[in-house]
Amino acid sequence: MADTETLLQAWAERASTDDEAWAHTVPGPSLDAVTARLASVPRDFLDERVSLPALFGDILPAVAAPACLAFADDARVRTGAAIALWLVAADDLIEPLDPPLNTARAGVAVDALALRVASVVDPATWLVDDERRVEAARTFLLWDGLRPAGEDAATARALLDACDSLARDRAMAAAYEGHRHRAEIARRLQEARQREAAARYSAE
Amino acid sequence: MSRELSDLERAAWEKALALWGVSMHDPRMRPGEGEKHGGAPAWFTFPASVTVDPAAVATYGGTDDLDSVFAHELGHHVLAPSTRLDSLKIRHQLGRTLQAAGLAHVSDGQVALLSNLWTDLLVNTRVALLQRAEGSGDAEPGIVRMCRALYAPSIGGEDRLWWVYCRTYELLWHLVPGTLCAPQPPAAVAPAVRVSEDADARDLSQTLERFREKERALREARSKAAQIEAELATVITTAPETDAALLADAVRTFASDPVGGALRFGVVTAPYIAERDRAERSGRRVPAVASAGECADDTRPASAQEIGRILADRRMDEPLPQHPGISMGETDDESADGRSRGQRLGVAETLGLYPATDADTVLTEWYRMQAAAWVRPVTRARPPQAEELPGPLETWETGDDLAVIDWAATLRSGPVVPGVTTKRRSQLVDETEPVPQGLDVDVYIDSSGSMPRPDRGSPAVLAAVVLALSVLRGGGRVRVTSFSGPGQVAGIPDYSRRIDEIIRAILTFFSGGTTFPIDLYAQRHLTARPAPGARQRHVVVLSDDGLTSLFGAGNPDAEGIAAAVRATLTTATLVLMDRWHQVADLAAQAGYDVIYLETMDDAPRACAQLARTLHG
Repeated sequence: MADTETLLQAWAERASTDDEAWAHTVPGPSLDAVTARLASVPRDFLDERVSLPALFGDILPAVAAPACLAFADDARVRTGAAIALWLVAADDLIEPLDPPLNTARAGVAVDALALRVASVVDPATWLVDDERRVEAARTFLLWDGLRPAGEDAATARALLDACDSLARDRAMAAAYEGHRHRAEIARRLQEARQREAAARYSAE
Repeated sequence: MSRELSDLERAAWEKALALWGVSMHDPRMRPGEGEKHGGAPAWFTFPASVTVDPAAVATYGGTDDLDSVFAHELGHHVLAPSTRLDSLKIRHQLGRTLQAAGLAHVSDGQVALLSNLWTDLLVNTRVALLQRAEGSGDAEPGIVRMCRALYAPSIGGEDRLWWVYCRTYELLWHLVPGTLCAPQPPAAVAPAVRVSEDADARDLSQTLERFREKERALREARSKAAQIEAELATVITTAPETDAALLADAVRTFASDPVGGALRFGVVTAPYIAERDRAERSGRRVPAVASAGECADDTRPASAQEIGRILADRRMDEPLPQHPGISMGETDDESADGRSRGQRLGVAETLGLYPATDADTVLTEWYRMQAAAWVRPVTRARPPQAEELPGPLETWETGDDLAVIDWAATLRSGPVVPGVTTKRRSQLVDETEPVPQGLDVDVYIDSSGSMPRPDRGSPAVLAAVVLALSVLRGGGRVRVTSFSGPGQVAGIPDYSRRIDEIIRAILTFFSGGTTFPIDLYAQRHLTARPAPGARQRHVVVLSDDGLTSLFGAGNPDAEGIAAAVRATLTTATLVLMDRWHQVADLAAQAGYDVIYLETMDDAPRACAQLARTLHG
């Protein structure tokens, strides 16, 4: 299994900056429609025996292979990519979303779920946890060049930032460092008090 | 004065009742009364009742969403806190988190603030869900509109806890940052740095020359410690953006369990109160506490019965969880500052949580609950009394007592021929099982200054309570005498089965010298004759190494009394906090058993040993 940093590094090399991505978004389907599709992934897409490159080739034959295929043996990447591919496939298998997804950019969107989101949140939780499902849906739309219906770019960006697991993990790590820093000072204080106690003397 | 509901208000009230699927008597409409409740437009009280100040609702522009105002208050009735007992449990848990955050004295207002925020979060989140479910989907729920209107004046405020609270709603309701609070949290107010120099103000030349080097080293060490202490005081560990996300998680996880989630909410929010308190104490100007008024209005202190039920809930005593920011990446047993986790609620901390309740009431319930797990019925087997049962017929011989002839059996045997046809009924001895019997136990507990204070956790008090409850459970009775110096004797004069009276007597604490009330002891067991039918007598004395006065130390007239009393008793046991066993020889000479006790953890073991002694 690839470590999280490796997957994030692969994503960083693959993707443009967030600012550029947001600048090129256009109104897309409603968030509810995308999350509803995420919640109804067919079991076949989650079957680990199904080859990810083959699945990708079947659904997006005209799109260049995404970076996540290099990590197809990683369960998180495989499941994340398969769920993203279901969103694309559902346009044909059920009916197109309104407006439809942007197939030409779907490779990046698949990578976004497989490398960026799946590396910090188990894709299985996207199916059962509303918050994580919304995060996956918003991320997919962004990198597919879309933003949820009824939202301007600033709103959509703020709402994705609010549920971004990677950003939250980093904020938690920063908070932890704050507590560590305080603990270190507390330890130095304890030592200083011990030295002060040892320096006390009797004036008799 | 309350007024009747208008037609519009009644329609809104019925809509709110339907939203929750409950029935309730009409709310009280009291225009202008919100000022007495911190400006709240509506509030909920126990017994379950909703009061609304329609004028205050109109002031913030919520008249069109009156059903949401009602729905919010009904949420306090249905969901959080739901009952007064659950309300007290939530406050109990939040008080613990405030103590753990470093607040020396937790005020009722601080607990009430956190309790309001936590229950409001749960209620408003549920109301939004219910309104979304019954609405058209895309329409903004009324409760969200209500909060936007109500919290609008506080946007841009400096209260960091309020910012975290509002930001949590934004995350829960997927609102754009800036809707309920400023996009960025207010800056923390660090405590003012104050390094105390008082002790070192004296000129070093005033110190004797031979001590100057040591004095210089001491001052240097003291100065260094003071600098680090000042540095520590300025460190801010709260992270509002992260904490809001953690609170949103807590609301989702504990959506239907306000008591269970209170600790999680408290460990995230209590540090904000503590930081504010530290800054205020250091002389910094701190921003005013923001709130939307107190809508859960219940200021009555907890009663004895309520405290008993709170402490009986094992969740109230469970170890505090770590703040997720601290516990990240660590084992369960170690925190970031190296302290061990798992500390349970002590008696002093419990007292601190109930400043408005009589301390004796809190102590009584605390010791009773601590003892509860160790109470087993203590009895003593009553000696079996031989009984006779009728056995088979035997021949009545001439010379036997005429009265024992069984004439009915004899006449059935034909003509009466003495010694041949005469019959008698034999008697067999029935070997009955010993019958367990309750005990009368005379308890003497030392409340001199050398004993641990009950309000700091006393092993002797805990052992006495376990013993007393065990004796009562076995059907027995207890008499308690608390003693300290001369004339300092209190308790209950007769054997009793009233639990509260017994525990209150055990909790008596004089904090004087140690003089065993030997005259009273002799009067009770030597002078007064036991009443006819009185049970066996047992004495238990809980004390420390100062108990030598029981054996006449310092009072020659008292020598021999302890031994003489012992001869009249079934058992006599000393439960001593006497590390060096200084009373052991005197006790052995007078025939007293001794059980030793040092810590609270020893009390159950000592009581189990005592129960075996009493049982015989």
